[in-house]
Amino acid sequence: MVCGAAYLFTRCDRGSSAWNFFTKKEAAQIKSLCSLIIPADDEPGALEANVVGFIDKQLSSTYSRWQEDYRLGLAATDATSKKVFGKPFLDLSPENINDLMQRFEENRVPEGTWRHKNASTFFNLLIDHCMQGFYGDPRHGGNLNHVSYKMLRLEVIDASLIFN
Amino acid sequence: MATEKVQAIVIGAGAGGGIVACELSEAGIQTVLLERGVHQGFLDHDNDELTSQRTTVLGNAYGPDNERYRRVFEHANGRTEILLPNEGRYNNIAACVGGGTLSYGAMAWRFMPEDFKMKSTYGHIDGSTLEDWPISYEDLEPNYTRAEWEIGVSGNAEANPYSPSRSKPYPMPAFPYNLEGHIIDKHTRELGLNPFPIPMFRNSRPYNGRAACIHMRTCVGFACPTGAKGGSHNTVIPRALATGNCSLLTSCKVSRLILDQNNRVKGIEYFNAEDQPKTLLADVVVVSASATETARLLLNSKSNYFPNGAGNNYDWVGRNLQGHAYSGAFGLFEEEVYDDMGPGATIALCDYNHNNPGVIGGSMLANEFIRMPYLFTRVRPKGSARWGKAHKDFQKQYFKRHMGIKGPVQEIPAWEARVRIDPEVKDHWGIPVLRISGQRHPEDLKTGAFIARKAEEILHKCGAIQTWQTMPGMGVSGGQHQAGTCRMGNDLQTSVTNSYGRVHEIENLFIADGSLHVTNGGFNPALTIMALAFRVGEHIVNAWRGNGLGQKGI
Repeated sequence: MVCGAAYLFTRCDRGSSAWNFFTKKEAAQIKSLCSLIIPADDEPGALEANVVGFIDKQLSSTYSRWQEDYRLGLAATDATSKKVFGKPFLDLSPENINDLMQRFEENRVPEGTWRHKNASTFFNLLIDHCMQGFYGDPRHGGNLNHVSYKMLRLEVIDASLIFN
Repeated sequence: MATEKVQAIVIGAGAGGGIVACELSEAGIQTVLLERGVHQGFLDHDNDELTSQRTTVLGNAYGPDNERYRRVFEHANGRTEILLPNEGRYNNIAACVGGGTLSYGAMAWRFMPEDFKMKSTYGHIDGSTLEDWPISYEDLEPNYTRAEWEIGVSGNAEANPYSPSRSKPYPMPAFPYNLEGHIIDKHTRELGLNPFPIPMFRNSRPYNGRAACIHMRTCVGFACPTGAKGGSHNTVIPRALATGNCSLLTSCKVSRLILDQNNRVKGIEYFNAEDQPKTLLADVVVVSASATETARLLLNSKSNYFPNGAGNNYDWVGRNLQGHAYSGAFGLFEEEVYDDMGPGATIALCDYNHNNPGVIGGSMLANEFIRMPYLFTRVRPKGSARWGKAHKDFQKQYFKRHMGIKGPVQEIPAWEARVRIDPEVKDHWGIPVLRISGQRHPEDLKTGAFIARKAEEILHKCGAIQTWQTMPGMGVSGGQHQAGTCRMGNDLQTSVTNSYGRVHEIENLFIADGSLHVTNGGFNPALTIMALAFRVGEHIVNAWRGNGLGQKGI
């Protein structure tokens, strides 16, 4: 396993993390956020579509320029949680997380918690990547089994079989 | 080792370069066509929305790539940032054989006569470099016809009452309307408007050895799997190669034009596929690298006589960068209006293009190409939920129940909307990159507001339960319709080339791409780029044969 320049912000002490970029804790945070950005209802949501896997994969390749934004953003998310709710992000209820995300969207966060970039910038990035993972092509790791296409009742055409 | 010499060099295998290379090689002129990209086809990127030329978030399917290319963007406050090619402000055009024509939406519009006489029609506009073209619609008409027949266009000219005079009909019948087209047709006729089928570089029946269109959802932004979509890559470039007089060199990046003391271009310097520097000499050089990259090449090519770049002694190279101020509206419907018939755009009208009191120019209006699922996540009225169940519900409810109508609003050229050479940043090959700066002319937003209001009225009439307008900001334009940076003219002090695309004061250097456009019409510009390329190509061939046109020129 290469652990160097290519994955600039990847720590080498991820232990048995199955992720390319995220630590176990970060992956758990991203899961919580994504499960509310595209929630499961009578149709699958972000988690079922492997959106977290999509983001992790992109951050370790095409989106490596946003590694720092994610690493520092998720740390700031935890810091904001402690200031606002008095406990770590991973101990929050879904209602608390929803509340926190609305604060991020409107940039209503305690002073000093977001030093690198502001909260709404990070949240906008995360929303956009989440949408890409859910609605983009499965070849990139998300939209597992074309769940979003099925949700939109959009016929899946495997053109490579037709035109090969 | 002696430096290689050929008769003609054409730089860029896109809409313009492919045609010029074909003209020259079919006339027996030994031609080298250089392309920075490679041959690509549908299977290279399949139906992948996230790399399509329409969305590009994970990269440009057909180039340029994020590894080797950079540009600099200068904000209105002077702050600069370095851009990757898949970022919107980079203003990329695909880098591959065929250029933009491999993956375009393939609308094949002729400009209207007024589009060649914008200053005569509308007068001087403060803060604008607005000018008439040195040629008229009638001058270009035979070349429009050639482009329609040699690339292959499906359309019905008689259905558009505003269609300029034509010497020939389209070579193929128009496509039938999709469901959106039928709805818009009925309601716009009731409004007294004049809708008609969009002319397209797509085969409505088998044509010139290529298949008929099978209506892929993934059409605009994607290569065509059957070849029904016509571009330079599957028409004029294969013809050029078949003559035996044309060599196509792919993965070659031209860095500089070599100018001599007598104001002639001697040849070029380029990097080959192995990144080795090469020199190639020629009797005539044609630059067809797109409005941004053509200007870059000229500006990077200096001599004693042209200390600020080839043809740039009056500071016009890179100025007047234009695209289109796309404006329109979206509407939501109770019933499904989506029928999955690609590419989706089928119907247009020209009632709001010229001859509307108080409006300078205008645009044709057309229903939108299919919005793929990720792109649709951004199609929302103001104040809509951006995440959560409400956002997901909107996707489910309206993916098949929304319509867009918009138009490429003609821009009024602005002197400060420009590309120049960045003093510091270089690309993979060490070639100085472009810096993009300036703003659009405020008149564009007035025209855009008019067009957006008309689009919204149409959607209302069609039965939309909610509508909202979309408008551009004041930021500099360009994009895939980029134009205007080396405009034609009769006066060397206010233009870069003559009316045949020959750079003033350089007798054997020509341009054949959107750079030449004095103004960019209220239409997608591909057919006009092609018609001009035929004009430039014919002129070079005539001059080469010495039958009177510009003999001194070559």
